[in-house]
Order: sequence, then C-alpha cells, then structure tokens
Amino acid sequence: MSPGESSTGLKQFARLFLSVEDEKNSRECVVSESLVWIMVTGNSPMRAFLASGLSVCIASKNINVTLVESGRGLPNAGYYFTFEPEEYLLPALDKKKLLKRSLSDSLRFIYARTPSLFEPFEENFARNTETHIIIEAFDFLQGDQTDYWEELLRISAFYSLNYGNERLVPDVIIIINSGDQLQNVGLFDSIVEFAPEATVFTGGEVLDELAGRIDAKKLNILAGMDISFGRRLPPSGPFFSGFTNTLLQKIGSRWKGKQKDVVR
Amino acid sequence: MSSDNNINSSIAVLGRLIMKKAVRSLFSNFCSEIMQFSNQLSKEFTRFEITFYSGDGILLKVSPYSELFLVSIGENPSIDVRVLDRGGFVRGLDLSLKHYLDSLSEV
Repeated sequence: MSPGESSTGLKQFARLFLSVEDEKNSRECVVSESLVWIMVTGNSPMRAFLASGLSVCIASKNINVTLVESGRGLPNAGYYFTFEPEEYLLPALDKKKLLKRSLSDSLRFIYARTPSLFEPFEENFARNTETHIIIEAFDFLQGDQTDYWEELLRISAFYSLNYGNERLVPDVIIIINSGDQLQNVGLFDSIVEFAPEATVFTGGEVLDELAGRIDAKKLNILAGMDISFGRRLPPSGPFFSGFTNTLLQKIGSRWKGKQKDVVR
Repeated sequence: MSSDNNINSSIAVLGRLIMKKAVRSLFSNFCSEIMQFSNQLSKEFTRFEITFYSGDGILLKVSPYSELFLVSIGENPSIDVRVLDRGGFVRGLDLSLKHYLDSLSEV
C-alpha cells in the first residue's frame, strides 16, 4: 500500500467517526463574513429598494448573501423579488408571519415586521463559497435605539455560517435619511458605541455637523440610480455596481486584516 | 401620538358601517397599512369615506359599506376594488402600493 492510499484509508476511517454536523462545522469555520446595516429613517420604500438591489448585486459577485429585513411599512423586499402579492403581503395580514426563502444558490432572504420574530434558515446555501455577507435592512426608530440594535446584533448570529460564531458587529453602515429624525438624535454617538470600526455612508439630508461626528462618507443615491420604485424587480444600474465595488473593497480589506491576525 | 389616536378612532367610527366583524377588521388593517406608506400622506374623513392623498398625485379612497369596503385607486378613471375577504384585501393593497410607488417615481 502506498502512503497515499494509506492516507485516503485513514480519512475514510476518520469519516466514520465524524458526524455530518462536525464535518459541516469544520468546513464552515473558514468563511469570511461581514455584517452590513442599512438603516432608513421614516416610512420609505428605500429600505426594500436599496436592500434588494444591493443584495442581488453582491450575490452576482460570487459571494453568498443573506438579506435580513425588518420594518413595519410596505413595501418589503419581497415586492422587488417578484413574490406573488399573497406572499409578500402575508405579514400585513398576519403580523407574526415571516417571509423566508432561498432566492438563488447564493442569495437568501428573510423578512419580519419585528426582529423578535426572526428564526434561522433550516438549510445552508446550495453553493458553498468562502465568503458571506449578511445585510440587515431596517427602519430607524425614534427614541432609544439600544434594545432594537441589540436585537439586530443578536440575530446576526442566526445567519452566520461560522460554527459557534457569536453575533457580528457591522463593518459597514448605510444610513438613508428620508425624514427629519437625524437632526435631533444621538444616532452617530450610538454608532460609535455599537460599531466603532464601521465605515459609515449617509444618503439623503444629513446635517454636516452630525455626519462630522464620525467619518461618514456621503452617498449620492440619486446619481446613477433609476428610481422606479413601482417596478417589481430588484433595481440595478451604475449606482449599484459602483457602490458594490466600493463596499467589497472595504469589506475585503477587513477580511485580509483578520486573516493576518489569525496567521500571527 | 394624540393625532394618531384621533385618526385611529375616526377609522374605527367609519368601520362601524361594516356589519361583518372580519371585514371590519380588514378595513382597519387596510387603512393602517396605507397610513404606513408615508408620513407625508394627508387624510380626509367624511361620514362615508376616508381619502389618502398627497401632492405627488397619490389618491386612494376607502369607502365602507355594510358587507364590504371599496378601494378606489387614482382618479379619472379610478380602479375600484371590492374587498369582502382576504383575497380582496391583498388585491386592493397590492394595487394601492403600486399606485403609491409609481406616483413617487414620477416625482
């Protein structure tokens, strides 16, 4: 018996004593993962519109994406993912109902009106890659955000592909202001507390003095975006491809940094 | 908050025109969903209907009757949806949402 054959035999032998779960976990623990937050103030279709477009665009780059959406107002991203009205409007009829579906080999989607309703997916991605981005898109609520954000961070652990992973901290936060709530709240102070390392992008009217409290980058969401809110398709175009590249550069450099830390 | 309470109680009063409890519940749920489309939507109540509108061209009228409620979407001509059950609710809300989103896109 050659050494190679011996090794193969040993692997097969070891396999008998490893549960499927253990094997899955050992494979999954190498996934590079990031959490992205999209928070939208006021009742606005921008939450579902931006989240659906961005998640499709990232998934098309051979990266697994889990879109986790929460918010009271319509539309939810199911509208843009061309769900039947009976399906995407189900949470409007029954507030405790979830929308949960794998949309492709590399994109899965879950929606609930409130974060406490979220539950894990039963199945993993059909296509196993080494990268995974969780996008949590939600409404910015007035008043104290602490409990709400804690809940969203806790949920991120449900969707992590890494075995035994605890909750993630956002690497990127996108804030879209469609109301006036950003002018009188400690949002940016809270961000510094929750995600001090996050890269922050702001779109819409955000006072410079507020945005200046952290290194927020302005996002010109009207440039290169075909804003057809009523069209039942995930939006696409130069804005999404350009911003996805920027986003992946930021996240990619984080992943490289973490890999170096592990090697050390 | 008190303004929201006033609106909710006005909707509840209008809803009393509907005899069936299940349809009445759909009526208040429907109005609540419409109000959450946007903070900018204005509401106008008469004794027999509620109208949601905005300067962006959004116009939705919801009129309760004893057995059902009628959703009129847009104007000249409007699309009318009779809501007697969950199927009507879904159709009315889906078309109302499409009307709202299309109106936003045209601005």
